[in-house]
Amino acid sequence: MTAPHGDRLVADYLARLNLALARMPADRREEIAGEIASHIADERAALGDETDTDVLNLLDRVGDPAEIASAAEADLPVSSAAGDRQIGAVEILALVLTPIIWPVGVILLWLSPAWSARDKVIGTVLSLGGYPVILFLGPLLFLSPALMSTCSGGSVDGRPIQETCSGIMGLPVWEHVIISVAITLGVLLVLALPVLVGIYLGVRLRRWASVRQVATS
Amino acid sequence: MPIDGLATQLRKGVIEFCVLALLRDRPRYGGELVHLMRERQGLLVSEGTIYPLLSRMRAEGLVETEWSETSGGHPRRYYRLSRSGQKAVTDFRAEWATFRAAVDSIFGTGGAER
Repeated sequence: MTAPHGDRLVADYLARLNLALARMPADRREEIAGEIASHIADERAALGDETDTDVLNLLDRVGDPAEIASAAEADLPVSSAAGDRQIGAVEILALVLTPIIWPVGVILLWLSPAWSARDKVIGTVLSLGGYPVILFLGPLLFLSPALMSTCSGGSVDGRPIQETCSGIMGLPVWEHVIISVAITLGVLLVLALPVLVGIYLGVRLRRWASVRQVATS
Repeated sequence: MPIDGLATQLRKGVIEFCVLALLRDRPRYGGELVHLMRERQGLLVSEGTIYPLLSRMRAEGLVETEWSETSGGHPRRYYRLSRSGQKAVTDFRAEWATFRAAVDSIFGTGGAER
């Protein structure tokens, strides 16, 4: 006899466990869920010919995900173990300040438990230092030699000579157009990035808050 | 569930030291610890709760872990007592002896075994 629904039962159980552990930091959650998954796999292997009932009994012995989660949360620091931290001032200020006063926004971003390390890196790097930095440093790029156009020409000894240009003005027209379009798109992207990053972080924040609500209820 | 709650309260203070003590002889993996605890009635209610405990003790430096390839299949995380874990076991043992003697003397539950 084998358990026709064994894999499915275990997968469902592990999904519920992950949800229940949503308030744990990601590394701890992965460690605990991984160990429990491995424990279940070992026990199933030891069963040999398992039935669905065997699998259900095993999962019952392993325990209610909520119980495991509360054992895990019992040793979290009080601030996050309190459990009902909603989206707060730190998160809102991090979102608002990152494009405007980047250093402050980024510090708040890293202080908040709402975002994963990956989201924090994205928020830090792709916000490009915020608009003050972009608006200050951005124009300096246009002073770079590759983009500077200088033309020499006019007349020597009263005779007109062919005007020659270096830089962008020295290129054929179609290349000139492509480069101009590319630069325009680049500028627009750079100007939009802090806002796009803000939207991304906002979406991640809402998702975090909703997962926590499911996990607490 | 007052009696159940009582058992939970009693368990809370000692379970981590029991797990640590089971690591005195050699490193063990989680499933092994579960089996050893299961033999002792009442110490572990849900087998899964040992893993948050192990995770916390690892974070606190009481145990260290290493992955070890098993003969049969997938690698397992083995838990080993750290120096501070060994100290915790020794300290608990002394504390427990005093504590148990005090409680036993009040309840008349200890002393010469009859």
